[in-house]
Amino acid sequence: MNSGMEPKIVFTGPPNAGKTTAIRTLSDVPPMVTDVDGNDPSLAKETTTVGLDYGVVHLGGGEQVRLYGTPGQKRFDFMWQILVRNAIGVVILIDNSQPDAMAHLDDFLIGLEAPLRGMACVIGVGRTETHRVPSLDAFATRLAFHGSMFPVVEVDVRRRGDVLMLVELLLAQVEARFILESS
Amino acid sequence: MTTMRLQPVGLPETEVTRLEVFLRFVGKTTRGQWVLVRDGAAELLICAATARRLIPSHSMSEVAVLPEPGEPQNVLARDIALPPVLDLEALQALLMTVESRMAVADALPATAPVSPLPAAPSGPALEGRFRLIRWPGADLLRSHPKAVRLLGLLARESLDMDRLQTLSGLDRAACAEIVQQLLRRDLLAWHGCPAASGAPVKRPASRGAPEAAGAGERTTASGELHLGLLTRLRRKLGLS
Repeated sequence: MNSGMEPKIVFTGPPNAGKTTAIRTLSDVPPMVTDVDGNDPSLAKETTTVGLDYGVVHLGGGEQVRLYGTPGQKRFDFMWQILVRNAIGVVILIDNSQPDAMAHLDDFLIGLEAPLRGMACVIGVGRTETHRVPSLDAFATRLAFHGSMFPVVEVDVRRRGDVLMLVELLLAQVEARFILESS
Repeated sequence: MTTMRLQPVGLPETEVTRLEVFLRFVGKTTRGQWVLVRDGAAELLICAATARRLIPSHSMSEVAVLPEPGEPQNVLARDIALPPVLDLEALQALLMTVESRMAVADALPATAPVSPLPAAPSGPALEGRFRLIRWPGADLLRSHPKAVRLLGLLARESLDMDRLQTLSGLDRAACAEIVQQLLRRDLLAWHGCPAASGAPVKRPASRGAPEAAGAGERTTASGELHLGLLTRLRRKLGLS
């Protein structure tokens, strides 16, 4: 991240990982979503995001932090990079109930390889209460394999406290950078 | 291609055979090729819980312990505890864990003695510098909400206790408690030689902890501007 940091947080991850729900949990206004009827029976959901989700947190005085959710499908990876550019940080949400959860993490680490250099990021793994494998430790190990070290926490995006923890982990990384640079 | 050795210690022959078979599938990694050896030096020892005492305390190898039902675990802080049944995925995760530890060790300065052993810093003074090698899970974050800021700092730079205290704004006792917790969980690398004040600290290359910007790129003013924004966001969301 550079001094051109824009006040936005990006939620990304595969379809059905909870990006729209996480944004709805934080946003001061009903999020704008671009869902269409899903045509992938493996996802077991009626709609899926094909454009982007958008929410906002108003800070007062006209200042706001924008919340973006990317489309999950890999064919839209060009949008991931566009949305992530100059963000405060990126939340990668993974649905552990999907059989290839680890491969999904790989997709996003590879798809966002360049932007993630120096950017705050946190991995939130959902549905771990019913699907313990892969373990959080295995995800952290896979991150190390990619040369990355980001927090990996289990998350239920329907719980505001869990989503706030993801934001807290992002903010701590960004603040640490600014504090160390100015010290 | 680098060859890395895995040696079973005190495992039944059926487990050893299983390991040999599994290595055919997951033994080849981006770092090199894992092979099973019966004796000699090895980067990784997989031992039965009852055989843990056979491994000398000064061994440089990584040790993973396979538990046996009804037997004492005998797992030391630095050891990697394996699930009771070592399946293919667990072995793959183990190899990656060991490789990530090796990568961290490789990236640290060779001149500074480095040890992630919890016993390394002696006494309450916690001498030397510490650097995060893996983020803790949510349990520690929830039990120590103030730890998050400290973790962000340790993820980016090797810091001694004085600097950690100053930068985090936490009191020394809180810093020490969190550092001790991290050491117990084997999440910190320890540099035994304190750096001279202001000396640059080499860090492992990691996307989560990139090299700091050069002096010419430092943007203190804009940094403070951004810190103000982040503070207002915290306040709005009810974060500490």
